[in-house]
Amino acid sequence: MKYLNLILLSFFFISCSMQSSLENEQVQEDELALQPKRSLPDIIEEQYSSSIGILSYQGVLQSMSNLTGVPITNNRVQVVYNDVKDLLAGTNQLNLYTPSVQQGYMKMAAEFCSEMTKSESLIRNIYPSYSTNNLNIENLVDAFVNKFWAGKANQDTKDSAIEDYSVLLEDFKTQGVRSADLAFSACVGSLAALPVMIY
Amino acid sequence: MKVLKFLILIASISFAQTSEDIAIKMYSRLTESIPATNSSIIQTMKGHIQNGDFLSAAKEATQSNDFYNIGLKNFAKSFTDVNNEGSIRMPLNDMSATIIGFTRDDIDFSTILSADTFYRLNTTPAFSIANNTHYESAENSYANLKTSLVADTISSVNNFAPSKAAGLLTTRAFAANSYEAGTNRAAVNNIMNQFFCKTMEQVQDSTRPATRVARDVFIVPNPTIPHLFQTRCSGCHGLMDGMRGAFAHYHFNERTMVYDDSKVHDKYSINATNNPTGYITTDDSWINLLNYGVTESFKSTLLSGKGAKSLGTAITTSKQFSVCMSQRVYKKLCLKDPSTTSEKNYILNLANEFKNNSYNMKKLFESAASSARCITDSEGGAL
Repeated sequence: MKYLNLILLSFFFISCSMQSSLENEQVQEDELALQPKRSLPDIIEEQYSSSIGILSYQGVLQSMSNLTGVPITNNRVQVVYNDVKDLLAGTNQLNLYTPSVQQGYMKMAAEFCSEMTKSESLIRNIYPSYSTNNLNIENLVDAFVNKFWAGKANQDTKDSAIEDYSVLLEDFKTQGVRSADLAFSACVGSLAALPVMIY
Repeated sequence: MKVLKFLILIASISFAQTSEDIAIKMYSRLTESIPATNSSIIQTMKGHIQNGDFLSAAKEATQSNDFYNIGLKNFAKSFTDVNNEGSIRMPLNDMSATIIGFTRDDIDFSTILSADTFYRLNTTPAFSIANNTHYESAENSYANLKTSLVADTISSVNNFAPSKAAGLLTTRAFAANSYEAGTNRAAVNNIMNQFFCKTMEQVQDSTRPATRVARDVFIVPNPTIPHLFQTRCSGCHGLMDGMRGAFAHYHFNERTMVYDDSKVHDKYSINATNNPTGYITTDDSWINLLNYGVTESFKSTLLSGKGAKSLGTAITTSKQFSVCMSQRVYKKLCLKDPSTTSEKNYILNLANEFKNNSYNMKKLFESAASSARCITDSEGGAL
């Protein structure tokens, strides 16, 4: 169930992000048409890869540990880390944000969140009002997104994600999904997201 | 189109920064990691930033374990990236550990290529001059580099005189990359790449004297192209061969660095018939031709000497060394090389500050993090 949630949420989340991008796409393309032609590598060099990096494999391990409270030496985390380490980025260059890197992030996030949601105290570090009964989904998602994405995205982006994400998790809750699994979904959906991976 | 969408998505993540946002970004750039939620370090940094004290905020981050275990470690590892691929997948070794140790302990970085000091860990298995197991094991078991590094003397572990120890130049890792087989010219090439941030191609200049070019360099490499040696070969070899004498007694024998005071290594006299009138290395003397031609701005003050230790001092007291260290720190924090005039001027200012701060690497990080506009997004930044 956890992994089904994970897959559904991952696709949902990526599509949400892309949808907000697409809304601006036509405008962006119109604006680009008015500018002198530059190659895509030029644009990347000038605007993005020059000032943004992605977490390397060691950075991913430590960052996810910092955010979830699960030690980097946790046995299950170590098994997954050793399995995906070579998939993750070996430098901080943004052009290494490839599907295999994303797959690695996703697996790492899933394991950290799985270990984290075994402990109510760790969940409460993120969402102090966490309870196994009548969980408030919107507050839960709000806590994960705002804490994991702190300093990494504007409030509109976070609010939009929280809103869309909550709708989906409410559905899961209605279907009888346990609170710990809902917390897992909220955790992995926000931990494996782009704002956490870039710095 | 996918790339465009991705770029637009990233653009949507940029936003006006609060003091907490700046604190998180500064921490992330220094440590290459994301801080814990409710981190006390971030709260303290936030307070400093609210008071306009960015330097104190940066100092908080450089006290964190993450700075030593990830950010600084990866910075140090980049010095052992002999292929300049930008990867940090190589293991921790005595060279990178020593860079971390010098930074942690506020040791004058201008002695990094001349001191009789290296760093090992207080962990098992014990340090060995014959392998890298000690460092790899410590890294794989997540030893805390902030607390477990200890200084030791190069001369004692290698059993040679302290006067023959030359900081990083006499670490096992540098030796493996520079003194194994070949002609020891790789050492000069590595120095150029790692401590001057230049390739040999960038610093070649055939106007330099060729008096030290050795016998193994063909004087007539191609009979159909007259003066090729003078116009091309000597451009690199004049500089390299002038300096490589410093390493005449060093060798790496597959596992261990070897220092033999009794004679110049055989590799200095190979292929002598290529240029019978070439220079014959008889001792470990060296000459520094950096003040000639395209590298005039390097402004070296020590122009000749004997042995690796004095060459190391010549390198680190060159203006270009400070510029290179500043450039490396800037690239780590801003994730790009300086390219604009204002960025290059900023690097020069950082380099001067680095020198005036007794070549303190930690202060260089803190200063760059507190003033670089790439972190604060502030128009009032140093750029």
